[in-house]
Amino acid sequence: MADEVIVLTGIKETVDALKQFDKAAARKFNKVINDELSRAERSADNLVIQFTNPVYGTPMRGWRKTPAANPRTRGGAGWPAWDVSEIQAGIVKSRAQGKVRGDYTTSAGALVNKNAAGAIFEVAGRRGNASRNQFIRYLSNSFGKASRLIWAVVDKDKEAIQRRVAAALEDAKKTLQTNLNSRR
Amino acid sequence: MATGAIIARIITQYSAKGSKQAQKDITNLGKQFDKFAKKSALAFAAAGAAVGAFSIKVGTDAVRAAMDDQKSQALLASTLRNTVGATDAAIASTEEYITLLQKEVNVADDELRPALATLARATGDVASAQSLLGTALNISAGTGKDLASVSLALSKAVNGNLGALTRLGIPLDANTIKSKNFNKALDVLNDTFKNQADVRAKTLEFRLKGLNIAYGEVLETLGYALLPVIEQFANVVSTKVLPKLEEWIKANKDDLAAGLEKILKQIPQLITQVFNLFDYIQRNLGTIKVLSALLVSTFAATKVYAGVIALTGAINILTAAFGKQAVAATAAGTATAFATGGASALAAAAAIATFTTAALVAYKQLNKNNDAIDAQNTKIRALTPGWGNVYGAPGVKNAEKVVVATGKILGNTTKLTAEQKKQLASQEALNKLKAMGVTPTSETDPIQLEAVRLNLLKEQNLAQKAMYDQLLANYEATNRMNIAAQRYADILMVISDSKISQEEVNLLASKWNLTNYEVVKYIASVTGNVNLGAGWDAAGLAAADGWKKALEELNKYLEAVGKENFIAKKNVPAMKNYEAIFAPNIQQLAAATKTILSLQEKVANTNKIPDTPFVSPSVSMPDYQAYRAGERGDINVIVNNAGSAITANDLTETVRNGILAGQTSGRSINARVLDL
Repeated sequence: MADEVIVLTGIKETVDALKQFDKAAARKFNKVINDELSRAERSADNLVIQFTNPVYGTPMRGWRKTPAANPRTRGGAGWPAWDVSEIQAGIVKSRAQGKVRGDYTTSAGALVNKNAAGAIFEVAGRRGNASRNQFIRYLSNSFGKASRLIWAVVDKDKEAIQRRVAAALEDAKKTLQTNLNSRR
Repeated sequence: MATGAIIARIITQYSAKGSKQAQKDITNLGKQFDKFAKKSALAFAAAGAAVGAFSIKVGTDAVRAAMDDQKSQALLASTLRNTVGATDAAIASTEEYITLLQKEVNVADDELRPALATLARATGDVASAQSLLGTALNISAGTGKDLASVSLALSKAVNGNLGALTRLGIPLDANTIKSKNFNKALDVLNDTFKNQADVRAKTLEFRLKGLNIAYGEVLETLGYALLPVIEQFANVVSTKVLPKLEEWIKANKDDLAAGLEKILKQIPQLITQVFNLFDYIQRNLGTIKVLSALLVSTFAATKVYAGVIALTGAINILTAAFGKQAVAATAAGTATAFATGGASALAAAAAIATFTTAALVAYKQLNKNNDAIDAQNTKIRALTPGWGNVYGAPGVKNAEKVVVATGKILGNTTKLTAEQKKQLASQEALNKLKAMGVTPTSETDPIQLEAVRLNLLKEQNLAQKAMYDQLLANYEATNRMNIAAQRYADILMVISDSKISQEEVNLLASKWNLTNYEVVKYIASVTGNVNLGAGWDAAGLAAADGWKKALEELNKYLEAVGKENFIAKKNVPAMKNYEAIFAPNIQQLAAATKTILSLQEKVANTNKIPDTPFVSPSVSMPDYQAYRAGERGDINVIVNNAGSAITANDLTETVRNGILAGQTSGRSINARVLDL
């Protein structure tokens, strides 16, 4: 994960104002964000394919590809099956603000990994002593430490994405200011 | 969002929602800080006050400790110089020794120094004295005796008086004592009380004392710092303040003495005067004793008593001493005079006279009653034989008793009835006076009281009437002033343009409820500007005045030339032959009047027609037509009925249609037509 976080200010306000004065500029700015998120989503989807063994169709040989017929846990669905398309479908972009964090920030764009198998692959071994668990040990040895799918993409591309979005935001603000000045 | 979904935030934005919460949090935090600050301020204030008080105490203790320590050091130094010829260096060294020893054995330097001085005087050597001081400390610790006593005993022992040690309870064998060998005795003592001081110093008690000593040292250190300031203050007082005070006393000592002497003279005089007052009361108490019984029973007694108590309260120094005399004097008219002043003295005299008279009257009445009773008794006694015949000797005795008892009862009843009547009358009169707000002080005669009441009532009415008249006059004056002020304000507004229009005069007249003429005159009287006051008719009035003056001048001239005065003709048009001019009109008017009169007579007859039911299908109404024609003058209405009129409504409809057909003026036909 990136250590530094670029906090953008006035995204919502700028877009709302632009919708009133210059809808084209609003759409342009939204397109920048959506494109960046889509690009990150595709990168994560590619990682899913990349991490899937073409021979087994799963990251590891023993990972079942179909849902468990006889769940081993009460009320559970058993170990989630690895289905590339399902996992890819579970990786989506989101512009929901979500909760306000303690640092008074919210999300303006994020990737969400909804699929259970994808989530396990994403974060398995993040906490605890991974070396004791054979699954995690193999997973880590083969695909690296936790943050293997969407977080890997975010860690890798987040800074560039933020800069591009920030630049687009500045352009949008300028456009908005120009519109406001012209209407005085 | 699905449960357990992983979210990787890419774009982060600042949330105003969060900042609002942050501001709220900061505000709450600020409030908490404010509360804390207030509480802290109070706490710090209390702590500050405590610290202040403690500082004062510490400062005082420090100065005192430093002064004691300084005194103790000075005494020791002086002793060492005098006895062993110690130098300043030796003295300083001794002080260091004292300081170290103090910390070691937890005994205050104030105790160590005198002990060391005592031993130094005995031994004549500082080193020996210090050595003996250690022994003395051990002995003191071992025996529980105070260090000063032990040191003194040791100092005596140094000079061969070993018995001083044994008298302190220090064990020494008899041989040693007899030998008077101090060194031998010292060896014994050192062996017996070896390290006792060190052991004692390590006990909890002396460790605490050590702390106390250490605190005392701190105080002394502080006190030494404060001493120069105190010395400076004392120096200022002794060199500047006291000389000035002395100088002032010298300059004013005579006045002071005279003032004190005057006060000392005045006090006895005051006491003498007050004593004379009560002495007089006491001396005359027997003289007024007879009347006091009457006054005590009256309402005035309370006031007299209160007056005396008030007087004694004012002279509270003598209240206790003369209290009994004052109470005794409450029944005395003389006391009343003293207590309530001249006016009340007169009232008291009047009360005394009144009650004296009342007593005489009562006495006479009582005598009359007694005479009547005596006469009755005589008659009863005359009948006694008859009683004796009937009831015998006992019966006679009983009869006599009955007579006596009856006489007493009768007398008492008569007396009581008279008193009750008198009291009731007095009470009634008093109630009337009280109702008027008057509280009598001494008068009790109902006739007098009623007279007073009537007089007061009369005076009260007159006063009320005068007050009412004054109030009314005041109200009217105020009202007039208000009206004048309002009118003046109106005038100022109206004449702001230096002229008064007719509309303004009308407006003021309406507002002031005056005529236009009165308004103009009023304005003229207020402003002093006649022309302005004349206002709208100024030109006419000026012309009239000019004409009058011109006429007066003309008449003067005519008189001077011997002719008659010119008398202007009245402004009345000359009469012309109007009758000839208006003769045709007059004739027409007369003819018209005649016609009208005849028509009125016919109308009077015609008005009876509607009362008669219409039965004929064809009705001719020449009279009505003539009447209407006469009324309207230029309208002729002809009603033709072709035999269709059956009812009165049909006839009405026919007449109405006829009128409508004949009405050509364009005016509307009102409902009167339908009333036909």
